[in-house]
Amino acid sequence: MGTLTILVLKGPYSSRHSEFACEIAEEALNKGHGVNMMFYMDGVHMPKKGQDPALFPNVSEALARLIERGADARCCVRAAKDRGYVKGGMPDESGVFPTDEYIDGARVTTIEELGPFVKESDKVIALNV
Amino acid sequence: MGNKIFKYNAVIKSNGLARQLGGNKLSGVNLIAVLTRSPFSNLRPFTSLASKLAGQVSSVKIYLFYDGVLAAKKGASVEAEVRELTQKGVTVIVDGREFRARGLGPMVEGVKALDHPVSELVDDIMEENSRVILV
Repeated sequence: MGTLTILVLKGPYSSRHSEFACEIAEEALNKGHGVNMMFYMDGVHMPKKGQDPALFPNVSEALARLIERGADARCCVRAAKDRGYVKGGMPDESGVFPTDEYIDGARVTTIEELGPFVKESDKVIALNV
Repeated sequence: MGNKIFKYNAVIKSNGLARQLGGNKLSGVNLIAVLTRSPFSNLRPFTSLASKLAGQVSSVKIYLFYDGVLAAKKGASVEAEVRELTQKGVTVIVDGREFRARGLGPMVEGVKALDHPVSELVDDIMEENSRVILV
């Protein structure tokens, strides 16, 4: 079994990449692979708590299920701060910035975390076009 | 360095695709393309290149998801290109749920419809020699 990293750069509901990322991640977990997810730019909307889409699948609930199953989900702090999801403050000892805007388990770190993700992954896909 | 680039399945647009996939070091590569957007403005450069690559790599497989499924509709302006790819041995897989959701039909000959192609896609992504692009 391998490890798959998925980079998401678009937000939910304006494109289907968030939904697609969750489908790929779920299937990878079903097959026994490890899954890392990195959210960058508008991708950082994905773990927002309290989403209530009337006509679309709720991607934050889908992401929460993936995290419960072991997916490692991280957001870029700069992109999250720009969008008001991180109010400031220093990261804790593990480099995680505080936020109460995200679902449990979604961690705000720096985009530099993508480097180790890529290094440890067998495959990396980026959903950005 | 070359191996590192191969390991990282960067999403790249069709311009410069062959170069970014490793130039002429393509033997043994299974090329996987994922189309999620409407094909009518961006498909031609890719189909042209995929057609050329079909003889150089081990296999070419194209997945059509979301609005990408529009490329599989018989009678669409891209039909000839899609049919030509299948005739050259390129496997074209369409998400049958999305195709039906749009009320589309019939389908271009040679295209294979699956109701849950993500399962096969993940197997292909994780396969050692695959190179994945999003078009």
